[in-house]
Amino acid sequence: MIQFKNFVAAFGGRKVIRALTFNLPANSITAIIGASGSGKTTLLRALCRMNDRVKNFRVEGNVLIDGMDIYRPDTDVYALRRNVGLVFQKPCVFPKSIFDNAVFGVKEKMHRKEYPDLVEKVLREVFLWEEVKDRLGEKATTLSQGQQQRLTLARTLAVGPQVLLMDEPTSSLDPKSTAAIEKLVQSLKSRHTILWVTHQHDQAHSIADKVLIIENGQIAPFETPVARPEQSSSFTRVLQNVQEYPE
Amino acid sequence: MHASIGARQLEPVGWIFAALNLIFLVSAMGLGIFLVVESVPILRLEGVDFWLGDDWWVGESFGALPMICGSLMVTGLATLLVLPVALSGALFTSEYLSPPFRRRVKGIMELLAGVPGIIYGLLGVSFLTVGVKDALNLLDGNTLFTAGLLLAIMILPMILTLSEDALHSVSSEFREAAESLGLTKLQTALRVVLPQSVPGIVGAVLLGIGRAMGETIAVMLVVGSLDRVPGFNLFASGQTIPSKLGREAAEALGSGLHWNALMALGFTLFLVVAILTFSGHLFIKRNSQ
Repeated sequence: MIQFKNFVAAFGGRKVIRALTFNLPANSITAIIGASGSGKTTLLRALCRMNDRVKNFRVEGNVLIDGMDIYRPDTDVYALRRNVGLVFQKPCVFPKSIFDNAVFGVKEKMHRKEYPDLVEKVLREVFLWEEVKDRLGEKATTLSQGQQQRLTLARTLAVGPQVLLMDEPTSSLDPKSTAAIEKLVQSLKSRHTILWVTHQHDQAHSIADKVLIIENGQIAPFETPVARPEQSSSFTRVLQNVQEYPE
Repeated sequence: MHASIGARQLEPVGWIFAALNLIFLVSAMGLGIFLVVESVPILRLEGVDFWLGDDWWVGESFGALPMICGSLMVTGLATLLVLPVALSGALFTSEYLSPPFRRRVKGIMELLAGVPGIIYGLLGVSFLTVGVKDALNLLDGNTLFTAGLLLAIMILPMILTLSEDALHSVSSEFREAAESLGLTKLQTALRVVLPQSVPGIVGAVLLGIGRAMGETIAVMLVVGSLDRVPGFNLFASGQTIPSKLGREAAEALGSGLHWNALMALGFTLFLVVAILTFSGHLFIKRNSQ
């Protein structure tokens, strides 16, 4: 469970997140929607302490993951980031092979002999294995944008995070790739707590258990998604056309 | 309409730029041709022995091997000494220093990179030769080692600042992607930033080597100027191509074969430095794309 208690995030005197207090249940998908500059990305980055080195960035209050305050002075930030994975808006694969990208985050943590099994496992999890199993040695930059985004997700999953933060992961993807990522995230829910930032209300309602609206650094009450078939999401619109991603 | 008029108006300027570029190109080619033409008499007489011979007696034989060996050893030593310092300094400046400190360090490095060789030469004569002599208990501090050490000090700022540019130009997206996977700052620097900067760093090192290869006055003041193949003894006096040219060019002017032999030495140096500089520019260009 993730708990925010009077959490404030600010750049100097400008508060981007204002006294947030709410809980996110484990093994659920929470979508965060809001206008540009409303603080969505800051909230995600604060959860994995990616803003620590940003000049003038400061926080108040507490953020607890499984009861542990992640802003305690003795927190191991690197361990925290392995536990709280962040998937960026734009896929950023390293100019290395697909295989090397998949194991990039665990190279100093496990034996080389274990790599192949891990690569297959995480690539299967993101429904990429069948597409790339015969060209794992090729540069990851040769993949399509959608495949690269799934590879970055696989790379994050390989590290074994408990929480997945997804910062508009489908914003640069075509509908087919978007549907694949949305379906993929649904399949990950049973093992991860997922926060998904998006601009698209229909996407948020179709994939999330909870929808959080954030405005000027503050949240509106939780919205529980309701089935609105007339407002079909990219997921529901396209999913029927996407048969090649097996469960 | 306006665009086409503008384009026509710019055309003469474009031709001027092209002409200026042509001047530089013709100058470089002219220099090469001049060196080749002036070298022909000695190369015709000595053949390949000019590069393989180890005796240089004016009026008798002209063997360039001591100078070639001296140049390679001094430059090689300087490169070996400078690489770890320049790379770690560049990594530290790029990845750990705050932007204001980074700008200050860069400014100082760029200033030092522009200091003329004679200033470094005076520093070498004043401190390095004495220091090396005392520290290593040598009879004479004017050695190939001293020259290599001095060249390392000379090319350090240039290699450091160009390498830092290459490291700093790596997109911050890669750093963030690596750090989001739990990599430390050092791991990110070594596993993500450094590999992507290799072409730029190699280019910087090649440019530094080019400068070291061509440095005349500073080396001349500390190398000992002894025309002999040094073997593997760095702590003996030696000679480099530029220091040989610096010492003898004025007295050899118009003296026939002696002059031609020096020109052939110059041609050898020109070729090596041209290849290195060209390679450096290619690598830097590749890194910036």
